[in-house]
Amino acid sequence: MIKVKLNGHWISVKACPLTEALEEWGYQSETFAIAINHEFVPQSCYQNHQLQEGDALEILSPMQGG
Amino acid sequence: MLTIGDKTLTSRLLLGTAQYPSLEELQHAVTASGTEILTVSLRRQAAAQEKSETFWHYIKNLGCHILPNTAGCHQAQEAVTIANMSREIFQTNWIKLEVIGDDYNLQPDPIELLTAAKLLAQDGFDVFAYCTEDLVLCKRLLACGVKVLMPWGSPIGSGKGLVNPYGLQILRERISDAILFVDAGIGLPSHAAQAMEMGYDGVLLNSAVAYADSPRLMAEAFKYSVMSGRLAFEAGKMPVREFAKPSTPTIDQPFWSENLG
Repeated sequence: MIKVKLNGHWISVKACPLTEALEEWGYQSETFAIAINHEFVPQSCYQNHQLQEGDALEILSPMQGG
Repeated sequence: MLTIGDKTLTSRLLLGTAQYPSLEELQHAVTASGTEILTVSLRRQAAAQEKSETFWHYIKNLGCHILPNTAGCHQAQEAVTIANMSREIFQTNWIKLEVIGDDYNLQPDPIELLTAAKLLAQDGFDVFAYCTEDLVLCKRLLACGVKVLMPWGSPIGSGKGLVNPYGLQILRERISDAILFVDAGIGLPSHAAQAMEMGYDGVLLNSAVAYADSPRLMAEAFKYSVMSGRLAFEAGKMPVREFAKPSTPTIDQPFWSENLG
């Protein structure tokens, strides 16, 4: 298991491709985008992106804005 | 009519989607305003969270163009990352670029803004830059490929209107061939009309409608003020004079002028 920071909270997850982690965390809709360690990760790269110890993930969705 | 890239718009009012009492109130306000461009943002989403889905479902069904923002960013690189995430979700190259330099008045950071604008324009984004009325900065932003300049009227959410009308007027006169919207600080329809009378191409506002007792009515009021201001600009204003000039012809006035002296 490795520790990653998901939207500001440390959690444990097995070292796996991003797609598997998203499934485990329950992210199923298509209306979110991801940045890891402040870098945008396109959807097309989820399958091949391997999570690493200490990664900081931001999973963002549409929200009200001015 | 206003054209931005390949999009032609009939409304010159852009509306934010935040702070409304409910999604239903937001929907009514959007309809009443006649706007064709809505601003949205990205925020953290917990897994299986329905709130965001509901909001996005509402917005999509309103049929407006989406202008995602980078609100909350303080560094150019943060804004670039958010812009890329927005492009993937909203399927648009439009980005309202906000890079804040001071948390007290949410004033844009001109250095980081320029850096981010350059990177995004090079990457194919249509950048709508939230900026101040600083003429030199605005010229630099345009030179690096910014599509739309959006100088503030006054700090975001303040409702103070146009606190530096002189600066905004000069900016409009000196940059006559680019699209300029006044963004932020608009509190009343008269503020919006003032900006439009100066020749601004549109106004972007949020709080003035969202915090009104009736967002729907205020949205409608802004719709007409923006139209009115634009018509006034196109009509051309009369010259301002220091002294009175009778509007009624003075020639062949009747008897009372003969009794003087």
